[in-house]
Amino acid sequence: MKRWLCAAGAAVILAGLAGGLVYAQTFPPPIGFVSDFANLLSPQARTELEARLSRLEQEFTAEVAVVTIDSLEGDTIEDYAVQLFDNWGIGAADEDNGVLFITALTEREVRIEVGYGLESIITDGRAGRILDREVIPHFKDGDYEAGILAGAAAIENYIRNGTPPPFIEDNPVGNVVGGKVPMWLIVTLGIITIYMMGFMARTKSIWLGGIWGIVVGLVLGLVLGSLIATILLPIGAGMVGTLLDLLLSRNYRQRKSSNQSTGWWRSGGGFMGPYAGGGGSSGGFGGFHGGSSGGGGASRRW
Amino acid sequence: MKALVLIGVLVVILAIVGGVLGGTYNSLVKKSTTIDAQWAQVETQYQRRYDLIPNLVNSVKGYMTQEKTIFDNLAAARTKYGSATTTDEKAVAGGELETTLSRLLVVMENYPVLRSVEAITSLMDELAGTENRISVERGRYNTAVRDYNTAIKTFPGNMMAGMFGFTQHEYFKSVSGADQVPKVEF
Repeated sequence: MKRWLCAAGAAVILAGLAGGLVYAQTFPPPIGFVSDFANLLSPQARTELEARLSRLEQEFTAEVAVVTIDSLEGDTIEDYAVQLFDNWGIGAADEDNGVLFITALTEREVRIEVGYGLESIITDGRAGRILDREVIPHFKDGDYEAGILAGAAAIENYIRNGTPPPFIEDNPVGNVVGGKVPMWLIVTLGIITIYMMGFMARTKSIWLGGIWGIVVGLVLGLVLGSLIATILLPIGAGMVGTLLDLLLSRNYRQRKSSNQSTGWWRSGGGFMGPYAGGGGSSGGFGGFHGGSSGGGGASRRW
Repeated sequence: MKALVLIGVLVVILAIVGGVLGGTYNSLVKKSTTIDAQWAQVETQYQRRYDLIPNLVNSVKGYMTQEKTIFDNLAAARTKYGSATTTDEKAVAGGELETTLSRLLVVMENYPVLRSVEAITSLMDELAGTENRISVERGRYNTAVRDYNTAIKTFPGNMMAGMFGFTQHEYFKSVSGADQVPKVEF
């Protein structure tokens, strides 16, 4: 019994000691891709940058967090950056494709912290060069906004140029149509949809609309060439299709029972299925996705 | 009837105990594996530093003709790391390499001309980044070790540790002198 107590006591003390070694810190939650805690950006610049980084995330899944803080509160910027990065989980969890661009006003220090997955694209040397060329000159003039915008643009550029092609570019469908949804495809899908609406209405079941929605969404997603669209479009279009079929089936039955015509009475809705799903892939900041970094990147003072 | 109930209760208790012990064993193995994986991360960064040093030395040597001792020490430490095989040896040699390298980096501050050479700036960024990565991965290694060591010292991990021979892992301690700023003599 005594030995147990001793062991338990030792473990508690050890855990306490080890816990004390780790710098415990709380971080504010992210505001968006841009978290301007130190108020260095004008509202327009903030909105514009947020929109750009949001677009970047949609196209490449890479997440760039631009952060300004008043003070590191005694921590080094390297340590602060890696902890904030982990705390927020910048980047997709399985790709670790996040970048943290952080400016500490009081300490006059700035750092680009690169997630594991982007280390080969934004090397430490490149990160240092971005800071030297794009950021520090503006910061020295006191123009923080210009420095932050230029730095973020440089990071974005590297990601856009260096990212291995999104998976669809190796995809035969994407190759045939060149990444844009061509008119003939929309017309064809639309005509088939209108034609199929007849079946949807006559069958009592509602799954036909759902399946057709998924098919349309999948085709459009593949052609658009983004992974997110390929996942979200079928889901959205599938749900819309199911709803459409439900509506059509119900209308048909009502009309039938009240002896109304069951001809082409809803051809205007023909495009609904394929289009409505598009809404799912747009939208702004939805939180970071659990990426992590291991201290790659570069820091500068100004 | 009574005997049946007794057996039933015993079976349930045994099943619960077995489940807990099995779960504990698995979690200890998992924690131990995490430590190994984390150490591999540290060694990856050591290797990266090892590979970067010759590039740096070759590009700055011409500018720093008076610093022969530093380059010699660095070369010696690097050779030592290269021939280290066990984890312990690598940890020690890696620490020495770190000390001599940080010395060089500090001395380089005295040569402002180096800052204007872009290739050297990039190399220094890579090295500084590597040093930072090493400290990050080491910190995570120590966290993994703490997690494991705590588990084998507390109930029920301590019972499993005794039965299956889980022993404590060592924390990574920085080599003596590595945390001191190197002295620069002129």
